[in-house]
Amino acid sequence: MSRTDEVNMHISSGAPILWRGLVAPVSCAREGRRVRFGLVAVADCLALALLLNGRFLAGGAVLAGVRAVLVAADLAGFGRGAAQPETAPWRLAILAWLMALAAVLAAGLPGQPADWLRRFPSSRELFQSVSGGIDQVIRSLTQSLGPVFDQIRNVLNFLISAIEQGLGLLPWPVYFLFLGLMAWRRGGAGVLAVVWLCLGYLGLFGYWDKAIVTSALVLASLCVCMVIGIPLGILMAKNRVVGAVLEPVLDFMQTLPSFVYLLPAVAFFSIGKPPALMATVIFAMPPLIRLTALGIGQVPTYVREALYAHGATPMQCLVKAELPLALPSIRAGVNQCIMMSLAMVVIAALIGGGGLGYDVLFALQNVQHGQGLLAGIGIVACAMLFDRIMGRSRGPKDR
Amino acid sequence: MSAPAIECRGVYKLFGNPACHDEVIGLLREGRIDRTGAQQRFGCIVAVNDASFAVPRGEIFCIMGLSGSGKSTLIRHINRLIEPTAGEIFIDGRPISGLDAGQLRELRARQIGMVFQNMALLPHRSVIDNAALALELRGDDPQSRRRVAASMLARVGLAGWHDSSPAQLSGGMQQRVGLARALAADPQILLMDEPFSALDPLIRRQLQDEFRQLSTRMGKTTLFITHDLDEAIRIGDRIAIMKDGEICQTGTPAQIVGSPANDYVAEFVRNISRLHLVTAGEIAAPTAEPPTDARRVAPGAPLAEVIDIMAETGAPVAVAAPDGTAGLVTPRDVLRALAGRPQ
Repeated sequence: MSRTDEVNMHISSGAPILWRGLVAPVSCAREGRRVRFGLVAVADCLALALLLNGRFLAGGAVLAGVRAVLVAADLAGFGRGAAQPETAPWRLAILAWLMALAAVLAAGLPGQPADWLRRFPSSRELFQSVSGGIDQVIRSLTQSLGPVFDQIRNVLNFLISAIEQGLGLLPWPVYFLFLGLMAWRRGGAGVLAVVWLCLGYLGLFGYWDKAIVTSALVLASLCVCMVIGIPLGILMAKNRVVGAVLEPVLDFMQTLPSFVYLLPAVAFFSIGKPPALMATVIFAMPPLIRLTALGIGQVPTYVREALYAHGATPMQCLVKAELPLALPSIRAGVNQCIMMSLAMVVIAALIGGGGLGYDVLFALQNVQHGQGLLAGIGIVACAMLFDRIMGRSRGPKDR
Repeated sequence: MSAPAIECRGVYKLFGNPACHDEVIGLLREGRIDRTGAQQRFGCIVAVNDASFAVPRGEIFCIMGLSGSGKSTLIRHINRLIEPTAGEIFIDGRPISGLDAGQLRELRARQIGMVFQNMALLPHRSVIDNAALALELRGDDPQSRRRVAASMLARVGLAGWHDSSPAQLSGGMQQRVGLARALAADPQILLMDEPFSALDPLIRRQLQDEFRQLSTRMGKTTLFITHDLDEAIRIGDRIAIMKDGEICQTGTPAQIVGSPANDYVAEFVRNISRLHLVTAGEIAAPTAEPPTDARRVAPGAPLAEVIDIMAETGAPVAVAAPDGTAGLVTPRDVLRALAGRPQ
């Protein structure tokens, strides 16, 4: 008789139900029901802690409730197929459960050693030495590489102001005409109406110049992202080592809260628009790199083979087959890059990015609800403009 | 005698665990290990195991094998899309392993065309730009490459389709574009990697016939990969049967069907129609005096012709060779031959 049959027998007869209720984690672990074991084991630890704290009613309720649910689930035959009795290392699981119970018990005792169990022993010294060390590194970097950072700062400054001045030179009707035309080509009258509405809002409420500052930052960020991100994405798809190195870096960049990017940007470039651009680029580039790599990686092997079989160089293969076939994916990456740039540019107002984000920040600091909301809607209008003009097409004309 | 257009000598291709390739090849050569043994003992996958063959100029040489037999891997060695682990490939008597990257591109762009099972057309380009790919890659000027591509498209029957996109074409038409692309550079060798396998039977048959005519008329040397013995027999001047990375028999269709080298090949040829493969001379019983009223055929006449005559007369057919020897084919001989039974 296999163990599964044995288990089923136990479940179906009356007396073992009582037994099963008592040592629920053990029987769950033996049957390889991982989720149930986890839930019951954690509930038991919680119940024990409650009992030790003198909250007998709550503790008892947890103990009994979990078992009642478990037995009910067994009787209903719920999830019977999920059991994997042969593969589960159940003894290890039970050992971990017993040790956890022991820890709960020990923490419940009065006195010094229990204190150590109740609160994780943190080290203030370690924290301070590491954070101080990081400060030191940044300080020495800014000193030794100061001229380099100044140079980068100048280049970024030039890029931003060139775009800003270029956008500012055009009178507002030009925007209505050209953006309107593009909107019309993309999706007809509906998109045109949305675009004119957004432009009209920005103009009427006096956000025009600020919207241009914000847009210039977004476009500058897009330029830098494309110049760095697309080649990196190609490299990542082509070279396994680069991919393995870049993958965790990108994960890190994408999970780090966006406010944290402001710190190194300020450290190396002080405040103003160049550090705002830097922080924006770091925040907005990962999806472009990822989607470029994805697009190149999705090009079928046989297409590559066909190119090489007819005498292509690797460069010809890239330009004539891989990039064109990856274009939809790269386009999606560019679109995401724009949207994330816009989100970050607003936050970058904190370090002197200016534009619409500054108005939101100002309203927040001075508790001016009306102003803040209107500026926020201005940012939404900008986002919709970018999305409708440069984002993925929705209209039937593009297909 | 001129060198064969394509020649493979002792080609091996192993995948996985590069450290022990030399050892495994040594053992394979001495016959002390087989494919399964190599995988179990060394973790090496033997894709091609000692393949040797030569294709003279102008011949259509079919390699037939089931999936996993290594035929697609083998064909990719001819233009070095895959490098052999051991062995050498010669094109026109020249070894190709010594070519540098530039020379290899020249070889691929001018001497060897290739057609793929899944067409591998570029979806963002028009039909004519797809057909002109090889010319574009080697740097021909736009006018001349459009002209050549247009004439190739006309040859494969796609004259009016220059500016369509590949997606607008049916599978059979797409593969015609693939063929035009391979022919546009006027290569002397064509590599066909299961070109018609993805097409429906009627179109496949039509393309097989057209391809055979085209290839013969243009004097191309063709290496044709297929998993379908019928197709190999229809198209090939000679056929190699591949199994588990090894070539188990090479011969003309009649040789393969008439005398299979082993049980594996015999199993394949069992259901092949012999009507056009077996000749009267092969099955005739020698006789001194054939009946005077019997109709006569040449020894090279296919079985189909003999059957036609028999259906009409109901009598044995006499086979007369030019050198004077004579034989007689009875209805029993015909039935035996059709069933694939030895005489």
